[in-house]
Amino acid sequence: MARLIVDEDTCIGSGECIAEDPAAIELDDHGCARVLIAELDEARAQRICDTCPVGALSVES
Amino acid sequence: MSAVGRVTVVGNGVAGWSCAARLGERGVDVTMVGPGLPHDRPPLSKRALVSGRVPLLADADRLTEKGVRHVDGRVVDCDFATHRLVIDDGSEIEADQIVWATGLAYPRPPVAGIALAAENTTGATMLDLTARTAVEGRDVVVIGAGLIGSETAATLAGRHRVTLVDMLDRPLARLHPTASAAAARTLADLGVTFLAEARIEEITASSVRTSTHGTLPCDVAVSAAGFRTSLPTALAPDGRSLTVDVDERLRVVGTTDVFACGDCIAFPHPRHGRLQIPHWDHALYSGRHAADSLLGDDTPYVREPYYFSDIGPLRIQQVGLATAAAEWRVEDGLTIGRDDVGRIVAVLFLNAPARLREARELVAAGANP
Repeated sequence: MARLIVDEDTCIGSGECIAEDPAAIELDDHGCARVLIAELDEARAQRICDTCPVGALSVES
Repeated sequence: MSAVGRVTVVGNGVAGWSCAARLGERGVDVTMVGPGLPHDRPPLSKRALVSGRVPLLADADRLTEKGVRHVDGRVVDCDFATHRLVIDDGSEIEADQIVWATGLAYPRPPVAGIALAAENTTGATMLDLTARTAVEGRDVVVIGAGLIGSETAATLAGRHRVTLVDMLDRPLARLHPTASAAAARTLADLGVTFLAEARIEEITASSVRTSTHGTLPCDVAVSAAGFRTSLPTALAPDGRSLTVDVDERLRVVGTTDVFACGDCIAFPHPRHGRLQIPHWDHALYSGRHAADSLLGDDTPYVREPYYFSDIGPLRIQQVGLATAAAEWRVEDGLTIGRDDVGRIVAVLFLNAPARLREARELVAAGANP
């Protein structure tokens, strides 16, 4: 299992990660990504991570 | 095209940085010219305006890591034939290839006292606005209810009495009425007073005088009344709003070794003809594309327009080109625009970020029926 980490200073709220997996991640009231599921299957976390256009997401095993 | 030599990227917003970083990653000798460290313009992140921290795209370490040399200044003159660039400190750069990415400028409306107004368009002006709104409970008047003005008004409303004025009859009047109506409701909920069809006569240190709504108390006026392409005099001698016309690979028309990307370009979109797209997503992807083109890739740039905006808690997203729509219909929560032969050209959706992929698929299906 893995954790998806959002760097809030880097996130620009493009919405690409939410489009990939809306059950796992959402936008908060500041237009910033917020992870909904603490522990994710590693491949799923990586798929979400790869959609970020600015590298604001990382995967921690 | 000749081999890639010394490349100078002019501009350090999203387009300039994404282009320079990509070139640096590929081992190209790249210099990026722009004031301050690369940052988002306008810096509309709510966290930025509340925290007073400029949303940097890269710090000094990241520039080094990507192999990008940074010249802190502005290009004030250029010659696309000789590839000579003049910086505002008087120094010159000679480049083998140039990438033009100067984005937009934000001219102020011709109103008496407008010099007193703040703005929220660059890192420096955002810091000025943060300082001038540091004490809670100010009377703030935001002039212009487009995306920049509406987002800024929504963010400031948490701590100040905010009035938003526009010459038109509703906020976001140039967007689809669905987005406009939702923005009006959200701004009202946040306590923002919207004044429609306002004519401003004079801004003073303590008021904004209008001919339509009387005199408004005002500690801080914020100018957010439009934009034009930011070009040096050499490219826009008459000062009119012009774009840098590029071909499908983002090479500047009429040049051999000059490319351009981001908000300042008009590129030939395969479906809609020449387009200027002043939005974040286009800046990022056209910046990367210009780098790839410069390195010899001959793939055309075809990215579908996409923008997102956060007016307080209201999230607006749109894929495609709204101005290409002949009619709109709300279907299953999406506001769908079709052209005159019934093909989908744009999809607008509010507070539904999970539907971005679906919106893109609908627009793609419209393009390839």
